[in-house]
Amino acid sequence: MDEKTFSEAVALLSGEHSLPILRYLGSGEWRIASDVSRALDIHTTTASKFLAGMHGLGFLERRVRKSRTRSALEYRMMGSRITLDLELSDGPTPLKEALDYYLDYVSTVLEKTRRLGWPGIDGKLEARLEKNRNGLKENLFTRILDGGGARGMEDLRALFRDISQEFLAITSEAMGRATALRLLSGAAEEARKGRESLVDRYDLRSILGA
Amino acid sequence: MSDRLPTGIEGFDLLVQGGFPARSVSLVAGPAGGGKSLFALHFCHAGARRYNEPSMYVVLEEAKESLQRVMQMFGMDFGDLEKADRFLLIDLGELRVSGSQGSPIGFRELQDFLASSLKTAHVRRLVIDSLSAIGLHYGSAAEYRERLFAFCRFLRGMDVTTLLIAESPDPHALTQFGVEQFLADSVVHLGLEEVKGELRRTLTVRKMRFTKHDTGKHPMHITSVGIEVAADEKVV
Repeated sequence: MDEKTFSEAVALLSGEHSLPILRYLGSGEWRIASDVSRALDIHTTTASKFLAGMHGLGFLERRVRKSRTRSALEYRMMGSRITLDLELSDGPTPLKEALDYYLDYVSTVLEKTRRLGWPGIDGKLEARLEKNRNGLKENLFTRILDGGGARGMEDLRALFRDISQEFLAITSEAMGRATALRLLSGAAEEARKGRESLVDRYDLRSILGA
Repeated sequence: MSDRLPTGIEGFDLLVQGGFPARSVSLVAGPAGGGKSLFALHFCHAGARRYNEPSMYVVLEEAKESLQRVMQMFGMDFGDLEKADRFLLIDLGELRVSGSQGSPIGFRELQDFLASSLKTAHVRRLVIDSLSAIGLHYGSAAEYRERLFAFCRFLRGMDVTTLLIAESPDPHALTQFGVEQFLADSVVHLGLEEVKGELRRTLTVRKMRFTKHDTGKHPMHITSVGIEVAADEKVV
Protein backbone atom coordinates (compact mmCIF):
# COMPACT_ATOMS: atom_id res chain seq x y z
CA MET A 1 0.00 0.00 0.00
CA ASP A 2 1.03 3.61 -0.47
CA GLU A 3 1.89 6.01 2.37
CA LYS A 4 -1.59 7.58 2.51
CA THR A 5 -3.34 4.24 2.84
CA PHE A 6 -0.73 3.04 5.34
CA SER A 7 -1.26 6.12 7.56
CA GLU A 8 -5.04 5.67 7.48
CA ALA A 9 -4.65 2.00 8.42
CA VAL A 10 -2.32 2.74 11.31
CA ALA A 11 -4.64 5.45 12.65
CA LEU A 12 -7.65 3.18 12.47
CA LEU A 13 -5.94 0.14 13.97
CA SER A 14 -4.48 2.13 16.88
CA GLY A 15 -7.99 2.95 18.13
CA GLU A 16 -9.07 1.73 21.60
CA HIS A 17 -11.54 -0.86 20.32
CA SER A 18 -9.83 -2.04 17.17
CA LEU A 19 -8.21 -5.24 18.49
CA PRO A 20 -11.32 -6.49 20.38
CA ILE A 21 -13.42 -5.88 17.23
CA LEU A 22 -10.94 -7.71 15.03
CA ARG A 23 -10.82 -10.66 17.46
CA TYR A 24 -14.62 -10.75 17.42
CA LEU A 25 -14.61 -10.80 13.62
CA GLY A 26 -11.85 -13.41 13.60
CA SER A 27 -14.43 -16.22 13.49
CA GLY A 28 -15.01 -15.31 9.84
CA GLU A 29 -18.76 -14.93 10.22
CA TRP A 30 -20.76 -12.04 8.72
CA ARG A 31 -21.53 -9.38 11.39
CA ILE A 32 -23.40 -6.10 11.38
CA ALA A 33 -22.37 -3.10 13.53
CA SER A 34 -25.06 -3.75 16.14
CA ASP A 35 -23.74 -7.35 16.60
CA VAL A 36 -20.31 -5.88 17.39
CA SER A 37 -21.83 -3.20 19.58
CA ARG A 38 -23.78 -5.73 21.67
CA ALA A 39 -20.92 -8.25 21.93
CA LEU A 40 -18.31 -5.71 23.04
CA ASP A 41 -20.57 -3.23 24.78
CA ILE A 42 -19.48 -0.29 22.67
CA HIS A 43 -21.49 2.35 20.88
CA THR A 44 -22.95 1.26 17.52
CA THR A 45 -21.57 4.35 15.77
CA THR A 46 -18.04 3.47 16.97
CA ALA A 47 -18.39 -0.06 15.63
CA SER A 48 -19.95 1.15 12.39
CA LYS A 49 -17.18 3.68 11.70
CA PHE A 50 -14.46 1.12 12.36
CA LEU A 51 -16.07 -1.51 10.13
CA ALA A 52 -16.62 0.97 7.26
CA GLY A 53 -13.04 2.23 7.59
CA MET A 54 -11.59 -1.29 7.55
CA HIS A 55 -13.70 -2.14 4.52
CA GLY A 56 -12.47 1.00 2.73
CA LEU A 57 -8.90 -0.12 3.32
CA GLY A 58 -9.66 -3.51 1.87
CA PHE A 59 -9.39 -5.56 5.08
CA LEU A 60 -13.06 -6.50 5.36
CA GLU A 61 -15.63 -7.80 2.91
CA ARG A 62 -19.03 -6.12 2.91
CA ARG A 63 -22.50 -7.02 1.70
CA VAL A 64 -26.06 -5.90 2.27
CA ARG A 65 -28.23 -7.95 4.65
CA LYS A 66 -31.90 -7.45 3.88
CA SER A 67 -34.73 -8.14 6.29
CA ARG A 68 -38.44 -7.44 6.03
CA THR A 69 -38.16 -4.14 7.82
CA ARG A 70 -34.70 -2.76 6.91
CA SER A 71 -31.39 -3.35 5.27
CA ALA A 72 -28.02 -3.30 7.01
CA LEU A 73 -24.40 -3.65 5.96
CA GLU A 74 -22.64 -6.71 7.28
CA TYR A 75 -18.91 -7.39 7.31
CA ARG A 76 -16.47 -10.23 7.67
CA MET A 77 -12.71 -10.66 7.72
CA MET A 78 -11.11 -11.64 4.42
CA GLY A 79 -8.72 -13.93 6.29
CA SER A 80 -7.35 -14.51 9.75
CA ARG A 81 -4.35 -12.25 9.22
CA ILE A 82 -3.94 -8.53 8.57
CA THR A 83 -0.79 -7.36 6.83
CA LEU A 84 0.36 -3.79 6.33
CA ASP A 85 2.64 -3.71 3.31
CA LEU A 86 4.11 -0.26 2.84
CA GLU A 87 5.31 0.74 -0.64
CA LEU A 88 7.98 3.44 -0.31
CA SER A 89 8.50 4.01 -4.01
CA ASP A 90 8.40 7.59 -5.18
CA GLY A 91 5.19 9.28 -6.25
CA PRO A 92 1.55 8.24 -6.13
CA THR A 93 0.49 4.99 -7.81
CA PRO A 94 -0.60 5.79 -11.39
CA LEU A 95 -3.87 3.96 -11.12
CA LYS A 96 -5.67 5.84 -13.84
CA GLU A 97 -2.84 5.26 -16.32
CA ALA A 98 -2.85 1.56 -15.45
CA LEU A 99 -6.60 1.45 -15.96
CA ASP A 100 -6.15 3.11 -19.36
CA TYR A 101 -3.74 0.31 -20.31
CA TYR A 102 -6.23 -2.38 -19.33
CA LEU A 103 -9.10 -0.61 -21.08
CA ASP A 104 -7.00 -0.35 -24.25
CA TYR A 105 -6.25 -4.06 -23.91
CA VAL A 106 -9.94 -4.91 -23.66
CA SER A 107 -10.92 -2.75 -26.63
CA THR A 108 -8.08 -4.22 -28.70
CA VAL A 109 -9.24 -7.76 -27.88
CA LEU A 110 -12.78 -6.89 -28.96
CA GLU A 111 -11.56 -5.23 -32.15
CA LYS A 112 -9.32 -8.18 -33.00
CA THR A 113 -12.05 -10.75 -32.47
CA ARG A 114 -14.36 -8.71 -34.70
CA ARG A 115 -11.71 -8.50 -37.41
CA LEU A 116 -10.88 -12.17 -37.04
CA GLY A 117 -14.45 -12.88 -38.09
CA TRP A 118 -15.55 -15.54 -35.63
CA PRO A 119 -19.29 -14.99 -35.20
CA GLY A 120 -20.66 -14.07 -31.80
CA ILE A 121 -17.43 -14.08 -29.80
CA ASP A 122 -17.24 -10.31 -29.36
CA GLY A 123 -20.77 -10.33 -27.93
CA LYS A 124 -19.84 -13.04 -25.42
CA LEU A 125 -16.73 -11.12 -24.38
CA GLU A 126 -18.68 -7.90 -23.95
CA ALA A 127 -21.21 -9.70 -21.76
CA ARG A 128 -18.39 -10.77 -19.41
CA LEU A 129 -17.34 -7.16 -19.01
CA GLU A 130 -20.72 -6.29 -17.58
CA LYS A 131 -20.62 -9.08 -15.02
CA ASN A 132 -20.77 -8.01 -11.37
CA ARG A 133 -17.58 -9.30 -9.76
CA ASN A 134 -18.47 -9.22 -6.05
CA GLY A 135 -18.31 -5.46 -5.93
CA LEU A 136 -14.72 -5.43 -7.19
CA LYS A 137 -15.51 -2.99 -9.98
CA GLU A 138 -17.42 -0.68 -7.66
CA ASN A 139 -14.59 -0.67 -5.10
CA LEU A 140 -12.02 -0.13 -7.77
CA PHE A 141 -13.65 2.91 -9.29
CA THR A 142 -14.19 4.38 -5.82
CA ARG A 143 -10.48 4.00 -5.17
CA ILE A 144 -9.62 5.67 -8.45
CA LEU A 145 -11.81 8.64 -7.51
CA ASP A 146 -10.11 8.72 -4.09
CA GLY A 147 -6.71 9.08 -5.70
CA GLY A 148 -5.75 5.44 -5.97
CA GLY A 149 -3.13 3.78 -3.86
CA ALA A 150 -1.31 0.48 -3.98
CA ARG A 151 -4.39 -1.35 -2.84
CA GLY A 152 -6.24 0.07 -5.84
CA MET A 153 -3.56 -1.31 -8.12
CA GLU A 154 -4.01 -4.75 -6.59
CA ASP A 155 -7.76 -4.55 -7.14
CA LEU A 156 -7.21 -3.39 -10.69
CA ARG A 157 -4.91 -6.30 -11.44
CA ALA A 158 -7.30 -8.74 -9.81
CA LEU A 159 -10.23 -7.43 -11.85
CA PHE A 160 -8.43 -7.66 -15.19
CA ARG A 161 -6.83 -11.01 -14.35
CA ASP A 162 -10.33 -12.30 -13.87
CA ILE A 163 -11.60 -10.71 -17.08
CA SER A 164 -8.63 -11.93 -19.11
CA GLN A 165 -9.04 -15.51 -17.88
CA GLU A 166 -12.65 -15.47 -18.98
CA PHE A 167 -11.65 -14.01 -22.35
CA LEU A 168 -9.15 -16.86 -22.74
CA ALA A 169 -11.75 -19.48 -21.88
CA ILE A 170 -14.29 -18.10 -24.37
CA THR A 171 -11.84 -17.68 -27.25
CA SER A 172 -10.11 -21.03 -26.59
CA GLU A 173 -13.41 -22.86 -26.79
CA ALA A 174 -14.09 -21.47 -30.26
CA MET A 175 -10.67 -21.32 -31.85
CA GLY A 176 -8.23 -23.35 -29.77
CA ARG A 177 -5.93 -22.30 -26.95
CA ALA A 178 -2.89 -21.47 -29.07
CA THR A 179 -4.85 -19.11 -31.31
CA ALA A 180 -6.61 -17.58 -28.32
CA LEU A 181 -3.32 -16.99 -26.50
CA ARG A 182 -1.87 -15.44 -29.61
CA LEU A 183 -4.83 -13.12 -29.97
CA LEU A 184 -4.80 -12.00 -26.31
CA SER A 185 -1.04 -11.71 -26.27
CA GLY A 186 -1.15 -9.56 -29.38
CA ALA A 187 -3.74 -7.29 -27.80
CA ALA A 188 -1.67 -6.95 -24.61
CA GLU A 189 1.38 -6.05 -26.68
CA GLU A 190 -0.47 -3.49 -28.80
CA ALA A 191 -1.93 -1.82 -25.70
CA ARG A 192 1.58 -1.66 -24.17
CA LYS A 193 2.93 0.46 -27.02
CA GLY A 194 3.75 3.97 -25.85
CA ARG A 195 3.52 3.12 -22.15
CA GLU A 196 6.14 0.38 -21.86
CA SER A 197 7.79 1.71 -18.68
CA LEU A 198 4.49 1.89 -16.77
CA VAL A 199 3.39 -1.58 -17.87
CA ASP A 200 6.75 -3.17 -17.06
CA ARG A 201 7.31 -1.36 -13.76
CA TYR A 202 3.94 -2.33 -12.34
CA ASP A 203 3.98 -5.72 -14.05
CA LEU A 204 0.58 -5.04 -15.60
CA ARG A 205 0.92 -7.43 -18.52
CA SER A 206 1.82 -10.68 -16.80
CA ILE A 207 -1.60 -11.05 -15.19
CA LEU A 208 -3.17 -11.09 -18.64
CA GLY A 209 -1.54 -14.44 -19.29
CA ALA A 210 0.44 -12.77 -22.08
CA MET B 1 -22.81 -35.48 -47.60
CA SER B 2 -22.44 -36.61 -51.25
CA ASP B 3 -19.11 -38.12 -52.29
CA ARG B 4 -18.63 -35.15 -54.64
CA LEU B 5 -18.53 -31.49 -53.74
CA PRO B 6 -19.37 -29.34 -56.76
CA THR B 7 -17.62 -25.99 -57.01
CA GLY B 8 -20.50 -24.32 -58.80
CA ILE B 9 -18.14 -23.69 -61.74
CA GLU B 10 -20.01 -25.84 -64.21
CA GLY B 11 -17.16 -26.35 -66.68
CA PHE B 12 -14.75 -27.41 -63.97
CA ASP B 13 -17.21 -29.81 -62.33
CA LEU B 14 -17.69 -31.51 -65.71
CA LEU B 15 -13.93 -32.16 -65.91
CA VAL B 16 -13.84 -34.00 -62.57
CA GLN B 17 -17.04 -36.02 -62.57
CA GLY B 18 -19.05 -33.60 -60.50
CA GLY B 19 -16.65 -31.91 -58.08
CA PHE B 20 -13.92 -32.52 -55.54
CA PRO B 21 -14.06 -35.90 -53.79
CA ALA B 22 -15.49 -35.55 -50.29
CA ARG B 23 -12.94 -35.29 -47.44
CA SER B 24 -10.06 -34.82 -49.87
CA VAL B 25 -7.28 -32.25 -49.62
CA SER B 26 -6.72 -30.38 -52.87
CA LEU B 27 -4.18 -27.87 -54.03
CA VAL B 28 -5.18 -24.88 -56.16
CA ALA B 29 -1.98 -23.36 -57.52
CA GLY B 30 -1.20 -20.57 -59.90
CA PRO B 31 0.52 -17.23 -60.35
CA ALA B 32 -0.60 -13.99 -58.73
CA GLY B 33 -3.76 -12.80 -60.47
CA GLY B 34 -4.57 -16.28 -61.72
CA GLY B 35 -7.98 -16.42 -60.01
CA LYS B 36 -7.14 -18.82 -57.15
CA SER B 37 -9.03 -16.93 -54.46
CA LEU B 38 -12.01 -16.44 -56.74
CA PHE B 39 -12.03 -20.18 -57.56
CA ALA B 40 -12.04 -20.96 -53.83
CA LEU B 41 -14.82 -18.44 -53.18
CA HIS B 42 -16.96 -20.21 -55.79
CA PHE B 43 -16.36 -23.45 -53.89
CA CYS B 44 -17.48 -21.87 -50.60
CA HIS B 45 -20.41 -19.98 -52.09
CA ALA B 46 -21.80 -23.04 -53.88
CA GLY B 47 -21.45 -25.14 -50.73
CA ALA B 48 -23.11 -22.67 -48.41
CA ARG B 49 -25.77 -21.41 -50.82
CA ARG B 50 -26.81 -24.47 -52.83
CA TYR B 51 -25.89 -27.45 -50.68
CA ASN B 52 -26.31 -26.05 -47.17
CA GLU B 53 -22.73 -27.03 -46.33
CA PRO B 54 -21.11 -24.57 -43.89
CA SER B 55 -17.94 -23.21 -45.42
CA MET B 56 -14.93 -21.54 -43.87
CA TYR B 57 -12.44 -19.41 -45.74
CA VAL B 58 -9.28 -18.79 -43.73
CA VAL B 59 -7.24 -15.81 -44.89
CA LEU B 60 -3.60 -15.74 -43.85
CA GLU B 61 -2.09 -13.17 -46.12
CA GLU B 62 -4.51 -11.24 -48.28
CA ALA B 63 -6.55 -8.52 -46.58
CA LYS B 64 -10.03 -9.65 -45.64
CA GLU B 65 -11.45 -6.45 -47.12
CA SER B 66 -9.97 -7.21 -50.51
CA LEU B 67 -11.70 -10.60 -50.56
CA GLN B 68 -14.97 -8.98 -49.54
CA ARG B 69 -14.55 -6.61 -52.48
CA VAL B 70 -14.05 -9.61 -54.80
CA MET B 71 -17.24 -11.20 -53.49
CA GLN B 72 -19.21 -8.04 -54.14
CA MET B 73 -17.69 -7.56 -57.57
CA PHE B 74 -18.83 -10.98 -58.72
CA GLY B 75 -22.23 -10.82 -57.09
CA MET B 76 -21.47 -13.44 -54.44
CA ASP B 77 -23.73 -12.36 -51.65
CA PHE B 78 -22.44 -13.92 -48.46
CA GLY B 79 -24.24 -11.56 -46.08
CA ASP B 80 -27.16 -13.79 -45.19
CA LEU B 81 -24.90 -16.86 -45.19
CA GLU B 82 -22.59 -15.23 -42.65
CA LYS B 83 -25.53 -14.32 -40.44
CA ALA B 84 -26.74 -17.92 -40.62
CA ASP B 85 -23.21 -19.19 -39.76
CA ARG B 86 -23.05 -21.01 -43.10
CA PHE B 87 -20.07 -18.98 -44.26
CA LEU B 88 -17.17 -17.82 -42.10
CA LEU B 89 -14.44 -15.55 -43.40
CA ILE B 90 -11.68 -15.83 -40.82
CA ASP B 91 -8.74 -13.43 -40.96
CA LEU B 92 -5.90 -15.21 -39.19
CA GLY B 93 -3.58 -12.66 -40.74
CA GLU B 94 -4.83 -10.50 -37.87
CA LEU B 95 -2.85 -12.76 -35.54
CA ARG B 96 0.18 -12.67 -37.77
CA VAL B 97 0.43 -8.93 -37.34
CA SER B 98 0.22 -9.12 -33.59
CA GLY B 99 2.01 -12.34 -32.72
CA SER B 100 5.29 -12.39 -30.88
CA GLN B 101 7.63 -10.36 -33.09
CA GLY B 102 4.88 -10.47 -35.75
CA SER B 103 5.77 -14.07 -36.59
CA PRO B 104 3.74 -15.90 -39.25
CA ILE B 105 1.25 -18.64 -38.39
CA GLY B 106 2.57 -22.20 -38.60
CA PHE B 107 0.77 -25.48 -39.34
CA ARG B 108 0.58 -26.44 -35.66
CA GLU B 109 -1.20 -23.23 -34.69
CA LEU B 110 -3.49 -23.52 -37.68
CA GLN B 111 -4.27 -27.12 -36.76
CA ASP B 112 -5.03 -26.11 -33.19
CA PHE B 113 -7.39 -23.45 -34.48
CA LEU B 114 -9.12 -25.82 -36.91
CA ALA B 115 -9.43 -28.66 -34.41
CA SER B 116 -11.76 -26.45 -32.36
CA SER B 117 -13.39 -24.29 -34.98
CA LEU B 118 -14.31 -26.91 -37.60
CA LYS B 119 -16.35 -28.83 -35.06
CA THR B 120 -17.87 -25.77 -33.41
CA ALA B 121 -19.06 -24.37 -36.74
CA HIS B 122 -19.83 -27.77 -38.35
CA VAL B 123 -17.68 -26.83 -41.33
CA ARG B 124 -17.83 -29.11 -44.42
CA ARG B 125 -15.84 -27.00 -46.89
CA LEU B 126 -12.57 -25.35 -45.96
CA VAL B 127 -10.20 -23.03 -47.80
CA ILE B 128 -6.71 -22.11 -46.56
CA ASP B 129 -5.40 -19.03 -48.37
CA SER B 130 -2.50 -19.48 -48.63
CA LEU B 131 0.22 -22.06 -48.04
CA SER B 132 2.76 -19.51 -49.22
CA ALA B 133 2.03 -17.41 -46.10
CA ILE B 134 2.54 -20.43 -43.84
CA GLY B 135 5.80 -21.29 -45.61
CA LEU B 136 7.34 -18.14 -44.15
CA HIS B 137 7.15 -19.81 -40.73
CA TYR B 138 9.68 -22.52 -41.61
CA GLY B 139 13.40 -22.34 -42.02
CA SER B 140 13.81 -25.26 -44.41
CA ALA B 141 11.84 -27.08 -47.09
CA ALA B 142 12.31 -30.37 -45.19
CA GLU B 143 10.67 -28.98 -42.05
CA TYR B 144 7.88 -27.44 -44.12
CA ARG B 145 7.22 -30.74 -45.89
CA GLU B 146 7.14 -32.68 -42.63
CA ARG B 147 4.66 -30.26 -41.05
CA LEU B 148 2.51 -30.06 -44.19
CA PHE B 149 2.37 -33.86 -44.30
CA ALA B 150 1.10 -33.95 -40.70
CA PHE B 151 -1.34 -31.14 -41.45
CA CYS B 152 -2.82 -32.95 -44.50
CA ARG B 153 -3.21 -36.09 -42.40
CA PHE B 154 -5.03 -34.07 -39.76
CA LEU B 155 -7.38 -32.60 -42.40
CA ARG B 156 -8.19 -36.03 -43.81
CA GLY B 157 -9.20 -37.08 -40.32
CA MET B 158 -11.76 -34.30 -40.12
CA ASP B 159 -15.10 -34.45 -41.90
CA VAL B 160 -14.14 -31.63 -44.23
CA THR B 161 -13.13 -31.11 -47.86
CA THR B 162 -10.21 -28.73 -48.16
CA LEU B 163 -8.72 -26.47 -50.80
CA LEU B 164 -5.19 -25.30 -50.11
CA ILE B 165 -4.18 -22.29 -52.15
CA ALA B 166 -0.57 -21.90 -53.23
CA GLU B 167 1.13 -19.28 -55.28
CA SER B 168 3.32 -20.39 -58.16
CA PRO B 169 6.52 -18.36 -57.87
CA ASP B 170 7.44 -18.59 -61.57
CA PRO B 171 6.19 -20.27 -64.78
CA HIS B 172 8.38 -23.33 -64.23
CA ALA B 173 7.51 -24.01 -60.60
CA LEU B 174 4.02 -25.02 -59.55
CA THR B 175 4.59 -24.19 -55.89
CA GLN B 176 7.12 -22.41 -53.71
CA PHE B 177 8.60 -25.50 -52.04
CA GLY B 178 7.85 -28.01 -54.77
CA VAL B 179 6.40 -30.56 -52.33
CA GLU B 180 2.77 -29.49 -51.94
CA GLN B 181 1.60 -31.31 -55.09
CA PHE B 182 2.85 -34.66 -53.79
CA LEU B 183 0.97 -34.42 -50.52
CA ALA B 184 -2.37 -33.20 -51.87
CA ASP B 185 -5.02 -35.55 -53.30
CA SER B 186 -5.74 -33.20 -56.20
CA VAL B 187 -3.89 -30.45 -57.99
CA VAL B 188 -5.67 -27.79 -60.02
CA HIS B 189 -3.44 -25.36 -61.85
CA LEU B 190 -4.73 -21.97 -62.91
CA GLY B 191 -2.43 -20.59 -65.56
CA LEU B 192 -1.85 -17.11 -66.89
CA GLU B 193 -0.06 -17.13 -70.24
CA GLU B 194 0.92 -14.31 -72.50
CA VAL B 195 -0.18 -14.87 -76.09
CA LYS B 196 0.41 -12.16 -78.69
CA GLY B 197 0.63 -9.50 -76.01
CA GLU B 198 -2.51 -10.60 -74.20
CA LEU B 199 -2.92 -12.65 -71.06
CA ARG B 200 -4.81 -15.91 -71.50
CA ARG B 201 -6.22 -17.79 -68.55
CA THR B 202 -6.14 -21.58 -68.40
CA LEU B 203 -7.20 -24.33 -66.03
CA THR B 204 -5.63 -27.79 -65.84
CA VAL B 205 -6.51 -30.63 -63.48
CA ARG B 206 -3.04 -32.10 -63.06
CA LYS B 207 -3.96 -34.73 -60.53
CA MET B 208 -7.05 -36.02 -58.80
CA ARG B 209 -7.07 -39.16 -56.68
CA PHE B 210 -10.21 -41.28 -56.33
CA THR B 211 -11.60 -40.22 -59.71
CA LYS B 212 -11.10 -40.13 -63.45
CA HIS B 213 -10.51 -36.64 -64.68
CA ASP B 214 -9.77 -34.67 -67.79
CA THR B 215 -6.06 -33.82 -68.07
CA GLY B 216 -6.29 -31.19 -70.78
CA LYS B 217 -5.52 -27.51 -70.47
CA HIS B 218 -8.79 -25.60 -70.79
CA PRO B 219 -9.54 -21.93 -71.39
CA MET B 220 -10.78 -20.11 -68.34
CA HIS B 221 -12.51 -16.74 -68.31
CA ILE B 222 -13.35 -14.34 -65.54
CA THR B 223 -16.70 -12.72 -66.32
CA SER B 224 -19.08 -10.53 -64.34
CA VAL B 225 -20.42 -13.62 -62.58
CA GLY B 226 -17.02 -15.11 -61.78
CA ILE B 227 -15.05 -17.99 -63.29
CA GLU B 228 -16.17 -19.87 -66.39
CA VAL B 229 -14.28 -22.89 -67.69
CA ALA B 230 -14.72 -24.11 -71.25
CA ALA B 231 -14.80 -27.86 -70.63
CA ASP B 232 -15.32 -28.67 -74.29
CA GLU B 233 -12.35 -26.59 -75.52
CA LYS B 234 -8.65 -27.19 -75.10
CA VAL B 235 -5.71 -24.84 -75.28
CA VAL B 236 -3.03 -25.95 -77.69
